[in-house]
Amino acid sequence: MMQLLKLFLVFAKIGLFTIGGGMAMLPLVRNEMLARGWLTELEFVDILGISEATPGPMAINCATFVGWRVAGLAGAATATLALILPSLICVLLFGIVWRRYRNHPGMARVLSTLRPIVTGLIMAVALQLCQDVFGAATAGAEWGQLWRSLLVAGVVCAGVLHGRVSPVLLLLSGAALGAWIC
Amino acid sequence: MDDSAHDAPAPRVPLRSLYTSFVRVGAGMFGGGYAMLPLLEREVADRRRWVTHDDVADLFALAQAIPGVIAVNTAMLIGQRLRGWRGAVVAALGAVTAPFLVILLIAGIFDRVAHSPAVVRFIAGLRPAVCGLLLGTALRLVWRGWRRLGAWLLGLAVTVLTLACDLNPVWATLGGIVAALLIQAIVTRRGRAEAAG
Repeated sequence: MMQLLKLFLVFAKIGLFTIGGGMAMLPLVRNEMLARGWLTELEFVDILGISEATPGPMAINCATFVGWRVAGLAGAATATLALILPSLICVLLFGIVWRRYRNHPGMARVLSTLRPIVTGLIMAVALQLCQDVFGAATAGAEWGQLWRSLLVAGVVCAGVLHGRVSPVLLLLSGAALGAWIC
Repeated sequence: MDDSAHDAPAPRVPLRSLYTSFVRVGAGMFGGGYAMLPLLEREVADRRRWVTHDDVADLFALAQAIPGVIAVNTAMLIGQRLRGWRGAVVAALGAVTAPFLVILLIAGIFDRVAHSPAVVRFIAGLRPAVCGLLLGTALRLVWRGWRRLGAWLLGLAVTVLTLACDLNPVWATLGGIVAALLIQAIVTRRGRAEAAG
């Protein structure tokens, strides 16, 4: 019961404090999962990979996965619903007054200020992830392994920047390339 | 609190079809966020004709300003537009149904297969690929969003503070909202003073 309550509170907090959707949730999700000991650094990377390759936003996938892990089916349902509950309340409260305030300059200012902050947070997570993944190879001085991983990451990164290929396809072909050469 | 009466003069959309429509959208929702927009438009604007393309674009914009997952927020807003609060709940549940079931399936077998050689190899390949994907996404956001020097400095400061001092994302977000509202209040007051003087 305590576990369910904790799951509920943590995922409701994640749902409430991220504006800007999926990717914007990563920093907080990573923070919370590592702090509670619900996922290790590398498990977080794995969940991220699984989330991208399966339907649904990453935060939802992560909530379901971690909820299941911590408290089975009830945990999965609790975490998933807790994640969307704050949004639901906001939709019901603010959806109606949106038309009055959508052109308010304060709203535009908040959004334009949050955008670089969220991008900065995502950039930090991306770098932390690289450290988690490449750090293991560097620490073991497995340079060949490191170069091959960097090659896979570089290819996928270049594909994303190119922008014409679906991320799911990129990720899966990157993983296949990695499985083949690593 | 049924506000659908003013918004949707069209015949009432059955909750059941609202649910199945959003299950369909949720099942094809790879990558979330912007990736779901074309799918959503095809389902609710083209196939069902419940709302117009402009409505979808409007609600999608609003969804970004509401906390939470953008895809689910958009679903809720469309559900609310069509059937009030019941519609919002049903649409949200529909949108998460397919992802929930797929992840349950994976989570159920994950610990059992995690040590098989094929899975270990695939995950070893998946990890650097995820790094590349996220780094590429972050770079694209930087390219697209940091047009002005102020935005560059703010974003860079957040990245450095997060890496160096473990800046909490909640505080970064709340701080941003408070600072933006303060600046807006000052700008408004100054504008008013100038208009008066």
